[in-house]
Amino acid sequence: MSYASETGYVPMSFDEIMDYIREGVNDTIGTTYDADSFVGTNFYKFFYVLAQRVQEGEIKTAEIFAKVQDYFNAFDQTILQPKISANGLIDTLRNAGYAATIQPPDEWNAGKLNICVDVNSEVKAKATIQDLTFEAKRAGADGERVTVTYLQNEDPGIFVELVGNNIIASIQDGSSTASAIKSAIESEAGSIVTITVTGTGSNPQDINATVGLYVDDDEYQAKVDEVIDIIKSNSAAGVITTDGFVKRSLALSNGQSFDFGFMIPVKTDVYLRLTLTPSRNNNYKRETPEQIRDRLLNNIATMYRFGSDLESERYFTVADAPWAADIKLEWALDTGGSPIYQTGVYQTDYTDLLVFSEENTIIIEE
Amino acid sequence: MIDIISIGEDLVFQDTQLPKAENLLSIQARSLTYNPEFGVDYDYFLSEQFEFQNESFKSYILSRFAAYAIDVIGLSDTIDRFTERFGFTISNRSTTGFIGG
Repeated sequence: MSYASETGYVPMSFDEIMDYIREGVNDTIGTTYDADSFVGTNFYKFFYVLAQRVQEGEIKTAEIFAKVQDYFNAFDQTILQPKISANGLIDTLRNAGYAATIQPPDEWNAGKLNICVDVNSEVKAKATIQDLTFEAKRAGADGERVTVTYLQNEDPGIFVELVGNNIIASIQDGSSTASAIKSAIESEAGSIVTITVTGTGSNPQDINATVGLYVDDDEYQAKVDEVIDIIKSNSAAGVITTDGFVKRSLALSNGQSFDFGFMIPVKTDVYLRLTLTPSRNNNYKRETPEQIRDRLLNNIATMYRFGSDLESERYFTVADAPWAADIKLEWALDTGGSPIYQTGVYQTDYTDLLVFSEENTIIIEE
Repeated sequence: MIDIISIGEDLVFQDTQLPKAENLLSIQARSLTYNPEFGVDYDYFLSEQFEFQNESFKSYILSRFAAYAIDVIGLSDTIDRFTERFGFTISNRSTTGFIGG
């Protein structure tokens, strides 16, 4: 038997095939060939080609067995971990090359699947209405939330209102000029958009126009489509996934349109301060601050993942600097002012993506 | 030992070792994928550096026959100007003892 569960299908060797043939010849013709005396005879010569073909078939059969075994293994894995579980979804996204986190469920978001995927673009979202072009101040998906709408103002003049990320400009149809609308919107919503006159500033503008800003970056848009498609294929029925930052409507297999979305991580710069006190009890060679900084950032790169907590004590230990007697790694989140360093663990939210950099890392050797 | 031979257009069984001997002499050793040992190594004798000696070649052929249990019962050796021709007479006898090459 060529098959065993431990070894799989072992193809018959050429000699084994020839042995079968030899026994057949002995039975049929009445000869008494043994393995050695059979070699070189005309029987051997004629059956050599046949045995060669049988051998090829044996090897192909073994390959098919190996493939079938692989298939069953992969299939078993899929059954063990369905793609629609939180782990399965994260794994599926990871296999497609995306780091993702899922919001831990609580009673306030029961039935909702809030996924955060590290996909973004450096390109700023843009859109044009008639003579004005609007550009989001923040790059990537953040800017895509901005919409601009022109409506008729029942009162004279121009009135601009900012509702969340929606800019609503009430203008005089056919008489308010592009330049006037530009300055009115800039004073109210200048924090989220930059406006340039791409047509003629003195042209009057028409009402009932609305646009959503769009990131014109093919690579980014293709990634978003891919992530949304993965979420569509791997989220369970009855779960709402639209509570996202980036949204797309996709058709289900019956043609029904369905909204799917995901969050974009909030990037926060982290300041690090590493203080090392040299030991007087050993003669290990001390390293330069640059070497220590590189090692620290390298350790963080291997240990920190999108979704992990900030665990400063794990990132640099005495094993990394045997010459040190005491090591203290402090961190501070970028809040705009001067960093306030602290120790301990920082528990991240599922959308937090911590960014470590050389500029924000200080090494102090006492 | 019975083997299969062709007479005219027919394939027939006959008690002979002749085809085996013929196969051995007509195959260059190492040319069969699944049985590289089988055959005679002409390449070795015909390599440039090798000084060909008829006697050693004759002994080598005999040893190859012995290795595959082909009994040689007669050996003729004729020299015609620059050509030396070996003739081997093969026995039909079934050999049970086997000589390792």
